[in-house]
Amino acid sequence: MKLLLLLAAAACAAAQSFSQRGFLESTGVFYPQTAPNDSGLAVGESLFRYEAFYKLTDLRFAAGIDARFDTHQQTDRSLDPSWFDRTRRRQPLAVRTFNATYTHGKLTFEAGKQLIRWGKADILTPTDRFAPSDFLNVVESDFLPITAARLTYGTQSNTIDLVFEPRLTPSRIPLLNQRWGTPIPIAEAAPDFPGAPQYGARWNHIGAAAEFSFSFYNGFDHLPLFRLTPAFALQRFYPQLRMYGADAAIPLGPVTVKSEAAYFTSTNPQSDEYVLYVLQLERQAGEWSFVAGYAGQAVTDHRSTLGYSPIRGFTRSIVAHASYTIDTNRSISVDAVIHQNGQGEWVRAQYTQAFGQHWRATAGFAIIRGNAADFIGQYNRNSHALLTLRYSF
Amino acid sequence: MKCPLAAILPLTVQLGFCQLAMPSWLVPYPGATAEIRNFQAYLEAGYATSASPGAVVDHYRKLFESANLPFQPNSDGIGTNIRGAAAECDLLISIRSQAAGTAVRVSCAEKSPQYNEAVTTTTSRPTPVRRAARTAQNPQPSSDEILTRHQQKVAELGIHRTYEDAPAPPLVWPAWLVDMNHTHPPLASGVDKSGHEFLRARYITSSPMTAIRALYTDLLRANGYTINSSSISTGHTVSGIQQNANGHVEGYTYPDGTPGPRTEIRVHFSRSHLNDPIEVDMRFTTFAFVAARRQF
Repeated sequence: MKLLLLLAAAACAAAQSFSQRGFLESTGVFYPQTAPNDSGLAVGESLFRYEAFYKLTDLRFAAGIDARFDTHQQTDRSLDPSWFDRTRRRQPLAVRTFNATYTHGKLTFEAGKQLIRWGKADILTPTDRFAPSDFLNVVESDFLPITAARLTYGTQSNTIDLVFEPRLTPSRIPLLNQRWGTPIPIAEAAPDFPGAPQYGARWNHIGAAAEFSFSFYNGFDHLPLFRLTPAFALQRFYPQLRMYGADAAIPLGPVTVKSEAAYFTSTNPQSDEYVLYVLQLERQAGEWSFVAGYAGQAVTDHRSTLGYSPIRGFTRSIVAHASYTIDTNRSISVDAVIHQNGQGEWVRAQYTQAFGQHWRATAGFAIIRGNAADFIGQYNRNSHALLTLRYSF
Repeated sequence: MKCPLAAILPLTVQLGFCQLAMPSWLVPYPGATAEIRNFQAYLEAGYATSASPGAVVDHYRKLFESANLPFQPNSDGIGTNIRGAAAECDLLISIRSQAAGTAVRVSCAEKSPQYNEAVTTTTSRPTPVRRAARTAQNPQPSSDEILTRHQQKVAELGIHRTYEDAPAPPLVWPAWLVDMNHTHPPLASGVDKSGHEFLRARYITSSPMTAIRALYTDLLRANGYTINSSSISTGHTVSGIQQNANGHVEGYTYPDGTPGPRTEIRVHFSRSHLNDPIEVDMRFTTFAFVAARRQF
């Protein structure tokens, strides 16, 4: 009996350092119009995410998996594992996080599969170089984890962040034969992934008047360029990329000014050199939150070949976000990106309501309008309604 | 095969390298002259114009409309692409903004390979009854039909075909083969030990050797060349300091398909002393195809 009591006590002690969370989410996306290369009007997606954490004194382990399925074959039907998320489609079973974190004083070292976000802007973040995305649905994208080692040294006013990523995790671009791809599909050759590592550093300073940071990245673009193979198929490749970035947030009484800019250079003869920048104003008023700004682009050296870059495609735009928290269970939000030439507009509205401790429903719609030759406007047949039901635990 | 684009493809037609024919209605933007390149499965015309990208897109819109083809431009976030299925070939037109004007590439392929990831919006399988009905609609072909189709395929794929000697591709320096500053160094011509004529360009650069190799590897690959050899090796001083000393990148392509005449580019780079600038030596050689000596 004594032994049983001891075991029970040990189990309780272990439970204090172990935590877990997760959710099961089902989403329906409904398109009122067919696209030239996609007759589907409804797509169902389900995602089960489970994350577990185990903490020792200075050491913390995290592991998480994503299990997903959809009705539109955006998720692979085979269970072949892919650690680096380099597959063309989503993986039915993928490792979301798997890392160890060691903390000692002001020093934190995290190694393994993790999410790393840089930058301060909201809708477009040019310096966010370690955050590839899943663009199978261009306007409802999600970030992909990367495998990296991250060393952070932080004081109250200064933080230095060093990141080393041994192998590129590319962004997942739209399937060429679906509505977010090209109107007339073309064959794809096996992609040409770079083998070299990438690394970056960021210094963030919180001053009395403003918070700002400078960042540097050297590696590869996680968005591809294309070359035509001799057999007339498109082959993705990921050009070398170097980024010099800066961002700042300056509180000015009623509003906060946020700005972020990055200069991208490349030794690749087909890759443009360019500057992306964002200037935005933020204001909190009661339960309201407003963000409005401009995302711009200036190409300093034109060398382009075929490619795919939603990040650049969303620039030269007025960007806006507004949200209102109705109460602890309900909120609404509106996002908009409008190209300065008026050729492409995307507006999304969402309403979210929680039911009890575990359930949350989200309903919304996105309207896309514009010219077919414009990056946003070309998706003018992809306006959609969206309904999500999530059970969290 | 005819070459209706003779106005902009004189070189191609004269030298007999035309396997494909661009649609006669697909002319470059007014005032522009296209440079043509042949690849294994497609033909590419490239040109630059001082017009804006919007004007160029509009130019192609009118051409497509006059040819009664659906005009479906799309943006990839960097520029505009247009795909089209003309009677003569499948088209891929890339329109890119430049510092002053627009760069255009028109690719014309005999037939695009089908997209290699078929997607349907349903996962349901047809029932046996439906499958039987479909079989009744499309009965199995007879052995004669299968044989005829086989012979057609053999002819289309060029199996068992006889080969003939072909002259070397024209000895014209590729416009894309540039130096580290993206300019064209002065050219010289020569003849190698085997009697093959070549063009040569040499220049000095202070760029790192790894960057030189990366540039030419990318350039060759991007222009349809297969890299068959590439290296960087180090040397050291008397006191033991090591540094990249020499290297090369070599690639080849068969512009008219293989077997056939081929083009070879070899870029050699080297330095003699520690921290010296690097001398880059680019050589462009073309080879005729001699069929009589080969057995297939």
